[in-house]
Amino acid sequence: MQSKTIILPESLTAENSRVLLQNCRKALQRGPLLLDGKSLKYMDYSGDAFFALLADTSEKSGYKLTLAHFNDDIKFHLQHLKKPKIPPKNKVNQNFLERLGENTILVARSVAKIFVLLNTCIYWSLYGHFDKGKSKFGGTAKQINRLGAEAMGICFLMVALICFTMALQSSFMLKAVGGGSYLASGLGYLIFAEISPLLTTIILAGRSGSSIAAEIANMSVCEEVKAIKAMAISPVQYLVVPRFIAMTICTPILSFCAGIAGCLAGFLIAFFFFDISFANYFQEIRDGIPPILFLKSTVKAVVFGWLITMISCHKGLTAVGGADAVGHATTSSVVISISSIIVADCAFSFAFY
Amino acid sequence: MDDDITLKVEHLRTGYKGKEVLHDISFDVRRGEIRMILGSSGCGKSTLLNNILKLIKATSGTITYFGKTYSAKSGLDYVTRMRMGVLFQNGALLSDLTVAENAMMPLIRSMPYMPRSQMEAIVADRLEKVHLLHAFHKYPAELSGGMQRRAALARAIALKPELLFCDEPSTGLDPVTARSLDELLLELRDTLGVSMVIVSHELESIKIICDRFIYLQDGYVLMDGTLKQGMESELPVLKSFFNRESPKEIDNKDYYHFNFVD
Ligand SMILES: Nc1ncnc2c1ncn2[C@@H]1O[C@H](COP(=O)(O)OP(=O)(O)OP(=O)(O)O)[C@@H](O)[C@H]1O
Ligand SMILES: [Mg+2]
Repeated sequence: MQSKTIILPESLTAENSRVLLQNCRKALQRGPLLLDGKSLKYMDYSGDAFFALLADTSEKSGYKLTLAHFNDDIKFHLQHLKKPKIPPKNKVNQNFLERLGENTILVARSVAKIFVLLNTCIYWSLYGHFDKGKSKFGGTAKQINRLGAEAMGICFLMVALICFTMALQSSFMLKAVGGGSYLASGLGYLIFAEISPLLTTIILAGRSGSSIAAEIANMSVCEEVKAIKAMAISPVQYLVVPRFIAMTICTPILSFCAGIAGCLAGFLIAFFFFDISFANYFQEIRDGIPPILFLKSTVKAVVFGWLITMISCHKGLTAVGGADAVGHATTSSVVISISSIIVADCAFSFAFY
Repeated sequence: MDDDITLKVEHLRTGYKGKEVLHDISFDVRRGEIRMILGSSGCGKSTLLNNILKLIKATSGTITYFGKTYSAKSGLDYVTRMRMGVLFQNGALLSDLTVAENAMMPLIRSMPYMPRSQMEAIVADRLEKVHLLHAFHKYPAELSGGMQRRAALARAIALKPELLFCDEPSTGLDPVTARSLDELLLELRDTLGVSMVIVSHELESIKIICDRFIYLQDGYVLMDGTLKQGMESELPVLKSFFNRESPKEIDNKDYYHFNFVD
C-alpha cells in the first residue's frame, strides 16, 4: 500500500498542530504515513505530544509511521522522548446488590452513630457536670446567640407570613359558611400543634443546621478536630455539646414565640374580615387550645432541634476531603434534617392524635 | 533500662482504606532523646505519627507509652494524652480562637479551675519562647504559615509535655527562625528532659538536633541508628539523602521508537 506523505511546516506549535494532528491521525488509521520534516525547524511542547500521539495511533492501527528528513536536533530530541506511564485507574466494579448492601450498612451505621452522639450529648449536658473529666470550655452562650437569637427575625417573619396567608385563605371558606367565630380557635390550634414547631425547625435546619455542619466539617477537613483530640479534648464535648444545649434551649422558645407571632398575624385577618376584637380573639385562642398542646408542641420542637443538631454535627465530624467535602456535608445535612423532621412530624401526629 | 524508654512501637502495621502504607514498624524513644523520623515525601511519616497518637487506628501492633502498653485497636486515655504535646504539619490552630486562647486550650483542659490571668501568664511565656508574643490577641488567619506553626508549637508545649511530637516543625520557616526553633527544641530537651519524635526534611536541623533516627522506606524501617551512623552509612538511599543527591534512574525501555529515514 502506498504510504501517504504529509509535509510538516516550519514550526510546530500549539496553534497549528491541532488540525495537523487530526489529519495525520486520520491518515494513519487508513494506511502508513510518511512525515516529511525537511522544513521543520522549531517545535514546542505541543510538538512532543504531537509525535507521541501519532506513535500511539500507529501502534493501535498497525500502520507504519515514518519520519523523513528531520534535522539532527529534533531527531535527538524525539529519540529521547519518554513514554509517560499513567497508572491505571483502579475501579472497583460493584453490582447493584453490592452497592445496595453497602449503602444500607452505611446508613444503619450513621443512624447508630447519631444515637450514640445524642446519648453522649445528653450525658455531658446532665451528669457530665459532675464528672471530673469535665472541662470548662463554655461556648454555650455564644452558640445560643449564633444559632438561636440570630435566627429570631427570620423565624418570626416566616411563620407570621404563613399564618397570615392561612388565615386569609380559610377566611373565605369560613365567611361562606358563616363560621367566622371559629377562625381564632382553629388557627391557634393549628399554629401551635403543627405550623410553628415544623416551620421554625425547618428554617433552623436551613440556617443554623447548615452553619453547624459547615463549621464542623471545615474543622474536620483542616485537621482541627484531630488537634482537639490530640489535646485530650473530646471533640463531642468541645464542639457538639455547646451546640446541643443551645439548640435544646432555643428551639422550643423560638417555636413558641413564632407561634405567637403567627397568632398576631392571624389577628389582622380576624379584625378586618370578621370584626373580632383583640381581647376576644385571644380569649378564643386560649379556649381553643388545651394546655397539654403546649407541652406536645414543646416536645416536638425539642426533638426536631435534636434531629437538626445531631445530623449536622454527625455530617460535620465525618467529613473527609477538601472544600467539596464541606459543601457536601452542608447540603446533605440540610436535606436529611428537613426530611427527617417531616418524617418525625408524621410520626408525632399519630402519637399525639 | 526499660524505665528509660518513654515510647516503644512494636510491629505497627497500618494504612488507609484498601491500601497499606506501613507494613512493619518498630522503634523506641528514650527519655530526653530527640528521635527523628526521616523518609521521602509520601512514605507515611505523618501516618506513623497519627498512629502513635492513636488518631488513626492501626491494623496490628502495640505501642507502649510511659510503660503502659496499648494494642493497635485500643484508644488512648486522656491522662496519657495530656502528657504528650503535638505539633501538626500545618499547625491546625482553631480558627475561631485567638493565638493565646489556642495556646490556653491544653491548660483549660487539664486545670479547669486555674484563674484566667495565671493561664495568660503561662501562655505569654510560651509565646515569648517561640517569638510570637506580639501576636497574643491575633487570630490564626492573620498570621503567616510559619507564624501559625510557631503558635501551634507554643500550644504543644503549653503543659510542658514529657513527650513531644512534631511534624515538620521547621519546614517553610526562614533559616534564622528555623535555627532558633531548633535551639528551642534542644533547650526544652535539656531543661525539661522532654523526649521528642520529630519528622523533618531539613538537613540543617537534622544535623543540629538529631540524636537517633529511623529512615522509612516502602513501609519498613530501612535504618535505625544514630546520626553518625546514618551519615557514614553506605546504603545508597541514605547516602543520597544526607548528601542531597538525587538517585540516578536508569531505564531506557520507555522511550518512543520512531523510524527515521533520510
Ligand atoms: N486520608 C488518606 N486517605 C488515603 N490515603 C492517604 C491519606 N493520607 C495519606 N494517604 C497516603 O498515605 C501515604 C503516606 O502519607 P503521609 O501523609 O503519611 O506522608 P508523609 O511521609 O507525611 O509525607 P510528607 O513528607 O509529604 O508530609 C501517601 O502515599 C498518601 O497517598
Ligand atoms: Mg507529612
